[in-house]
Amino acid sequence: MLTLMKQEYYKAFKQNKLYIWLALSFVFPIAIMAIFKTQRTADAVLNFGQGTIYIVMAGIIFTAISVSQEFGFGTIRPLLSRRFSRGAIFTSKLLLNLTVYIGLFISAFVGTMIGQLLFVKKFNFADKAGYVGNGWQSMGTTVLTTLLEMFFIAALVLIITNLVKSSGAAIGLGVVMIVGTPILSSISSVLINMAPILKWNPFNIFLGIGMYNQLPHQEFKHIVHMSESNVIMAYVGYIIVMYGISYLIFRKRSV
Amino acid sequence: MALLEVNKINKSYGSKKAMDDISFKVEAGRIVGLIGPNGAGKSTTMRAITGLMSYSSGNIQFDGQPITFGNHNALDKIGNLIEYPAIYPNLTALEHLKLYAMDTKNPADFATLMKKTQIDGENFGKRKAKNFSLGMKQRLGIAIALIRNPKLVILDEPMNGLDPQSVHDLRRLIRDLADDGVAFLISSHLLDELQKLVDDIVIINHGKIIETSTMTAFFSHDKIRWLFNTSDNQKALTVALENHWIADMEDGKLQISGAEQLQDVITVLNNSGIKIESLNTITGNLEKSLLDMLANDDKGE
Repeated sequence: MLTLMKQEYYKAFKQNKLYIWLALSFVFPIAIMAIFKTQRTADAVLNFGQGTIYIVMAGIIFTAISVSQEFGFGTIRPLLSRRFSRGAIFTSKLLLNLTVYIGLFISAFVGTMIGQLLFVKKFNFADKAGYVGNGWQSMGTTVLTTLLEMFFIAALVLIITNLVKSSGAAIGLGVVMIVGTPILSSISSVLINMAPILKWNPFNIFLGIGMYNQLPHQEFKHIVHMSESNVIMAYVGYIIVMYGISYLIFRKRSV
Repeated sequence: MALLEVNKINKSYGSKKAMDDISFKVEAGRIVGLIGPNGAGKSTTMRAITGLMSYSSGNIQFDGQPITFGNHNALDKIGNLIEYPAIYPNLTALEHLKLYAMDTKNPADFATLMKKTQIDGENFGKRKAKNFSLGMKQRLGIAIALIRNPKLVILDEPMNGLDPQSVHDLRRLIRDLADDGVAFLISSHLLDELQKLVDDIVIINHGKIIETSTMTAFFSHDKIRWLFNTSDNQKALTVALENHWIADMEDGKLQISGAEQLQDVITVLNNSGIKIESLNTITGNLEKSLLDMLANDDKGE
């Protein structure tokens, strides 16, 4: 596994685009706070200068490309015709993706800190913020929920990429999941109106995690039709199932 | 025991048999040509040997270890270049070698390998692989196949995109490695080149092996023929047939085979008052023999 990880990192860090993505993640919150006066707020700081959308997008694109480019370059054959199991190869890809997600967050965090020092000087992380506690706790929750959101979309993107061996369709779906909240909300409402059990549909759970810790408990339950803990459990369940399906497709694929 | 043993492997797509009881062996230090028309099952067989494709029955053993779709332990000592080189556009030639060398504790020496496969010149240097020509990519692909100091190297169309000098150099490299005990399984449509290189041949058609043989034994099927131009070809034909040799006219020249020695033919023709103006010896030709064999196989179906 260590060898596979070393190889994945070697390939990734030899690509200029990774550095560009990390640099943009750093610049994004500073630029947002510098350009838009309305974003010089506590809420903007806690959301990495609204950089979470960028982080999710970049993470999803990287996830799709990490698999699809092996098919595109024709490198999938030597990758799989080695002593390593497909499970180990798949896991090494997931660990690389996780590293990149963390890298994107760290870059955005540094950028946010600089942006806050320059443009939102009055903000104090020790003050109460949101529903979960002080600024640090609220920011930590943002990181966790965004990471969970990325895992969910990334799992879906991996399924599509492994099925069609191309990143285009997968990235398209990922973008819809990120920016298409009204569409997902409508689909979810229709499903729940058809049968209450369909409150467990993945769109509702996905939307629920997006609202996690942003609303009072009663309001959350009213909108999502279940408690926060149930949403978390269902979300984790969906993520495990989707990664499982993605792995099965990867394992069975003849190349 | 053979280094690689492929025993009765089968694979079907619906009613079409991609591999039909495929069996052959590759001994250490031997260069084996896997030959057949497009769609015959060459690449499929190679993919099965490299664990990239499942097969429904039979088994593949390499160095005493099984190779299956799910068991790749034996693949550590097999290098391969199947269909096209596995190249990352953003890496240089040296970076590719460093990347693939991470797989093994004892990789080939980079400088030596780069020199042998001619990827050490100015053209390569710090250039990214996306700027390589087809021939450069092919040479790098071959270097990658050799990086783990493999016992067996599987090359599918390794001469693709190479200029005549590079083909010549590749042939020499393969021969040198084979002399050191490395086995090769090579597929190529360049039969003239293959004929100069391989020790053994495996001919495959419609997913079925139709011939396995050493190159020498394969051509011993073809009698040596002599092509004469004489002062009287018609009379020479009659004389040859009277001596119970196989003789006929080909493009105005007299073709004779079936005699024990060339000297016997020359003596008989001279004694008959026929003057020999030119003489060519025709040995076996892989392309012709293969086409004849495939035609016979197709007729037999």
